[in-house]
Amino acid sequence: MNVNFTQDTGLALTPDFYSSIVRHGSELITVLSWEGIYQYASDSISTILGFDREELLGTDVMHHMHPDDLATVREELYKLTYGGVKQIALSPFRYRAKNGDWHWLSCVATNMLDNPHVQGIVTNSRDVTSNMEALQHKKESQAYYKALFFNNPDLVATLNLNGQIEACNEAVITLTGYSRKDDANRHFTDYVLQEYLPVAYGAFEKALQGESCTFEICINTLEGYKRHLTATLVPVILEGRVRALQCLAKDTTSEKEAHMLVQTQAQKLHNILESMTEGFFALDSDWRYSFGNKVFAKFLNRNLEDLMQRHIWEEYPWLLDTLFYQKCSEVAATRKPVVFDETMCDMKVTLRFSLNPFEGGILVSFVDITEQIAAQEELRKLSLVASKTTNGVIITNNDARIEWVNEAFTKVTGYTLEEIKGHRPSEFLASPDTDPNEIIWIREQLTKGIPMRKEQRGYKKNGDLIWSDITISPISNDKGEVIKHVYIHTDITERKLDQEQLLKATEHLYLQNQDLQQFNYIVSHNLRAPVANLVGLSTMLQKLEPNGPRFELGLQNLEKSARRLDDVISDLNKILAVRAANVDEARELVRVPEVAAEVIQSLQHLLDQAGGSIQLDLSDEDMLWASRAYVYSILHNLITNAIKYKSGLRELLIELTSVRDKYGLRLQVRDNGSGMDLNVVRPRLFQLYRRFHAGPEGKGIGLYLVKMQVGAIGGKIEVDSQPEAGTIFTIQFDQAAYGQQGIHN
Amino acid sequence: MVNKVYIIDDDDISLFLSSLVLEESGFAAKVLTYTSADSALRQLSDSNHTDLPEVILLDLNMPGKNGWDFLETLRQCEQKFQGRTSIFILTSSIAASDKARSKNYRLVQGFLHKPLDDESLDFIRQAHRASNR
Repeated sequence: MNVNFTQDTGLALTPDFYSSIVRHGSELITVLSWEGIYQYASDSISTILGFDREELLGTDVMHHMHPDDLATVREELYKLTYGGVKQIALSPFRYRAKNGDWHWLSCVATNMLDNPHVQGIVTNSRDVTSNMEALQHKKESQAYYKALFFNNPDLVATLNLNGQIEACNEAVITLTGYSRKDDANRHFTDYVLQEYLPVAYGAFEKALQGESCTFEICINTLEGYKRHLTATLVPVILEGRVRALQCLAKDTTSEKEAHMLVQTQAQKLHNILESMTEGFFALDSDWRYSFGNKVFAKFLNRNLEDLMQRHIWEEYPWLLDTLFYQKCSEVAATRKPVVFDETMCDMKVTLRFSLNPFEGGILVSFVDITEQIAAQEELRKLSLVASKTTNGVIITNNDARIEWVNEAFTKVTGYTLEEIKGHRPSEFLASPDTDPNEIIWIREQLTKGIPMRKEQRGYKKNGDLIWSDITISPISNDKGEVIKHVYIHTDITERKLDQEQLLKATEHLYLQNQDLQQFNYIVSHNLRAPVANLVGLSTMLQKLEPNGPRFELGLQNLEKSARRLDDVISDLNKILAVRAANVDEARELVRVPEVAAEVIQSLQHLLDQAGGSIQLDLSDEDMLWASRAYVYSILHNLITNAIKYKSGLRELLIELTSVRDKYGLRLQVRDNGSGMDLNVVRPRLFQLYRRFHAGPEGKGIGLYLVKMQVGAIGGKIEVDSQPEAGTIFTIQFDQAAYGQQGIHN
Repeated sequence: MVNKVYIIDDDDISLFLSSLVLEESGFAAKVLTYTSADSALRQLSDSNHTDLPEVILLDLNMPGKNGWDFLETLRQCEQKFQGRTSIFILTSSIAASDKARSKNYRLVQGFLHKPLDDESLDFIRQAHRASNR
């Protein structure tokens, strides 16, 4: 534009001048006919819209309008032409330039149809495209902002510089549960959990400095739930100053929780793996260690971190020769888990491996079973010993019933496992006559876990007597409860019988020794008594007047003493004969009734003198494998005694009876004589030269001899008596002693 | 000379001999013989203090109650005899154990071997005198 506004130049306000201004002014001035046909256009149309003036003249202005704006513009213009309005400012509308671009035009239209100089509608238009675009842009920005702020699914809030929340979007309301009213001007710290405040303040301070930052916090909702947020605080800077802070936050609670869950689970898994007594490690698909637990590290004595990512076969090349290597390859190929044991010679251990394929490689767990194998081997050996040993072995269960017996037990006792399983051992080990209280006592001890050792008499399945040495050991579990017992059963019958024999022999020797001592004592006494009398009498006789009555009496007593000495010597002879005799050689089958008859015959005259009678109740079966002379002597002595000590109050009756039963043969000599007070005499009854009746008849050798002779032929003698109630001598011969058959057994 | 002597012995010859020796030596005014401990005990229990014998000659080996049984019975009423009666065991036994055992009885003043002779009588006299002093 080329206008000179200098004052000095005198302006000539001519039509040309106006015309020039109009034509060349920046405003676009047109004149339209009432129908809207261009009558005139200023030159600026070419500058603004690219048209030549002549091109436009005669065209309808409406053809250049944007169709969207057409209706509005037409309506406005109508008001101008028919509405009686003189001038109207049209709202901006779009107008197509020659090159096809749309231009926003702001236009003031003036009705000058009546002006004779113009006769048309004058439009003054300005190109407001850039304004309109700016406006449009602003509108869009606002829409964007609105979209970003209010419709944002994330949480958006505006904080003032004090930290108060000035505005927030729907998401904030929804999440926190507070209404806008609640939220009004609240401070952001009202929401943040205590422990996150430092972080929140830090971010807030930073933002105030003009620096945005992102951080994680946790807030409390109205209802008291915790929500994890990832928040970004952005400073709103206008003209170089921070005006406000925009907070954008995302609810990451579920991610956070999921993350924490994963972490917890990972920790749990880790703990499990670490707490496993098994060694555990993982190999990735390149055979590199990717995981290992402590047991594994300890087993290899390696630092786990150092070992990770190392190649197993390079790290331990000797593994290539192992079954482990083969199995690993196999699992890698087949993707099927395997379990196997291998003794690692290099490490001197036996391991049980379990290989499991997983996506990233192979999981290996292993446990050291060296001891277990050793224990198994031990067990195998033990069971071999238990089953093959010559000792019987019984194992009972926790109910004290037989669970197992070995071959040896069956061999010794004849009882097989099948027969006695589930029974109590005492049923087979103890003889039926064992005191039940003893068995109860033993069971109590066993229940308490007290080991026992016992020698027990019992019977084999075939009825044979067996003596066993039984050692019972309780077996306890980890808790100390007795769950089993192991019986070691040793057949000690032979030893026991030997022992019994020895005991018998010892007892016999002891008794014999005692006997001998007593014998020596008595003999010395009884030998000396007549000798002392002889010595005393002969001394006295020398002092006495010969042929006097005392001398005569002394002489008679001297002779009597001499005879007694002779008797004692003769008794001694008898006793020594019994002692010295080998009775076994002299044994024969003695028929008791026969011998009894002989004895009675020889004593008949004494019986007759005493006015007594004798009754026999014997059987022909009563036979003894014994010395006939002894049997005669025994009966003779007992019957003589009965006659000697008859009661003065009654007629003498002697009974000789026999009883045969399972215990053997029992002979009894019963009388109704004067009897004895056994309380007084029993200890000395069968001793030598013990007499219990005063008077001349007894010498105190009879019962002693009887006892010796009974003993010599294997019997036992007992006495029962009461003063004035008679006496019973009972002689018991055991089964083995009374018959030939018994002897041969 | 003592007043009364008991001889307790089941052996008739020994009784005859002992009383003969006592009589011949003039040891006692009265010699009473008993063939069993029981008969002697009966007599003793019936006697009052002054009737008790000063000396009892006691055989050990007798049927029924023997010499030891007799001593045991007397032990229960020892007071009665203390200072009055001396018991002398007169036995054919030569066992040392018998002699030792006799020392357990306070009334026993001596252990004599048969036959009774002058030497034994001297011992009885002395011992009896000593015990009554």
